[in-house]
Amino acid sequence: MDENEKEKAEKKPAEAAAPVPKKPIEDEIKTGFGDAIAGTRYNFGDLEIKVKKEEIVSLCRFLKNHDKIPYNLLRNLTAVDYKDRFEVVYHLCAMSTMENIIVKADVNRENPHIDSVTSVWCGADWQEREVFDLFGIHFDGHPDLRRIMLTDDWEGHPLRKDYVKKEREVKNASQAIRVINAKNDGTTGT
Amino acid sequence: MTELQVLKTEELTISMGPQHPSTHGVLRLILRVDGEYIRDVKPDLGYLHRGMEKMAEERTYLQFLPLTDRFDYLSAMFNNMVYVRAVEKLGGVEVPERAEYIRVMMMELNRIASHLIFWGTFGLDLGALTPVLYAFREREKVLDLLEMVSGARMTFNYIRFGGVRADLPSGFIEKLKAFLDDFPHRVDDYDALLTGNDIFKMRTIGVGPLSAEKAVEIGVTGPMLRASGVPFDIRRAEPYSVYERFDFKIPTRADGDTFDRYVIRMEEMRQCVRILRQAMEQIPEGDVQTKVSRALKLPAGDVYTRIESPRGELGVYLVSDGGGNPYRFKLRAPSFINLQAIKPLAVGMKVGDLIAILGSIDIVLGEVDR
Repeated sequence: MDENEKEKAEKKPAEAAAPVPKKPIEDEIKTGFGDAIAGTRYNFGDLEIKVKKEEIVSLCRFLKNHDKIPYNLLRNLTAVDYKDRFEVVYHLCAMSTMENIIVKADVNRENPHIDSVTSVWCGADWQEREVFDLFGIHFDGHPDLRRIMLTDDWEGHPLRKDYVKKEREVKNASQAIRVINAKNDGTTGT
Repeated sequence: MTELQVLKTEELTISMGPQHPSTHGVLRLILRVDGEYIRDVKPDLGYLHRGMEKMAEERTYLQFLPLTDRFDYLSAMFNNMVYVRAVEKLGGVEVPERAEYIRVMMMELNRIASHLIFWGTFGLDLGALTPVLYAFREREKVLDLLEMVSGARMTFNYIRFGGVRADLPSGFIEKLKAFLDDFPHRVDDYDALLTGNDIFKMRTIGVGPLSAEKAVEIGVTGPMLRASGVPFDIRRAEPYSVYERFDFKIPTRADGDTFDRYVIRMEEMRQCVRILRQAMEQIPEGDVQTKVSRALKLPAGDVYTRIESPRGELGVYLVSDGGGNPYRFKLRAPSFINLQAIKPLAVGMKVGDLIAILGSIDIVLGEVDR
């Protein structure tokens, strides 16, 4: 759908700036959730909703169980580190009409907690674990929140922008072998 | 007799993998078994985690392109394509029509190669040692074709921003035609060799059924979802590239068991041939590449693009802050999401069935662990 719109926009650049026709679900969400909606916009033709994190589960449940267009597929769940805050992003899709909705929620960096949507889609399980592992965002109510990609004793969360990689400078293959040997017998390797 | 009755039994926890021929890579499954029956499955991932999403943030858009080949290494064209599409969408890059046709042809050839690996190794998993030899014979021909065009056999790095790396070489269309004339007969051979086999049917029919509702709730996509009866294929649902110009079927099955997941992929190979034939006839003359700066900078914003890979919905979520590197790159890997279904599918089945179920999910660990 957004692909078609993009094609149109390419052919008629004058119309590209024109606003995308509003989707009825937008007003429905605004009246239903009121102050919890921090803003809406259209991103490549898809409705994007910024919601306060306290209402994330109720909004997702509302969208999934919508009587006309149920947004039943959780396509993608991820997070972005914007240095002053985290943003958790949910890409939903209504399989009956192929309409997409993007839901975003800000999470503060000092105490990153947000409610888990595993009670809405059980498939959010591993995706939330991945975000927990790589960003350190806690999903409250998740049944089994532990690291998934990295080892349990890993320090830090690599996809945070302030994560400092620990690395040893290795210039060539023979030095790499020395480093490995040094690790094995406990010497410094230089 | 009384002694037998008081024999103590207990549940056993065993570790399958990370080195195990049937986990298709370094996957570890922690099983709790009661005799032959599986009571719990806990997958342990991350053995192949290379931190590719972090690596993307340290490279320019172009530098990261060759790395995308290493996600799902059995269908690298799709990884190229989904990343390139995200960049093109955010940057508003136009692609020549001929390039789009070449992309579709390369992807469908790659889909055949990927499904052939599935077919061969699935036979191996179930103890049929012959199919893999036939599968690799035909896959070799596909790889020859892909090598002719891209210069590589697995990590192609062929689909570039604004088009493809080079035009089709002379003699390619004739070679492709010869392959397409031969291949449908080979798929018939595969059916005769394995699909109708009684032992094969006993091992797969009714094993690990997945209902449509459960599949959607987990977020399962691709052949697995279509085997459960949901005709969801992004090539049809949200046509990208030039897919809306081709006439092809979206095969679906009703039961969602291991056999259905297998049959869907066999049928998809036939549909690939149909798409390739039409693409070959329709392909226009023209350029294959729009000029795109090497030091590409994208306007600030975010985009989510998705395509139908052999395993399901392959998506890229790309965030740009206006600089020359991706600010955030996230790959929505179909294998990763589909693998979540292993627990509901396998619990209550026998250990031997687990191998069949895992094979029918068709995972690639490079994509699961990223």
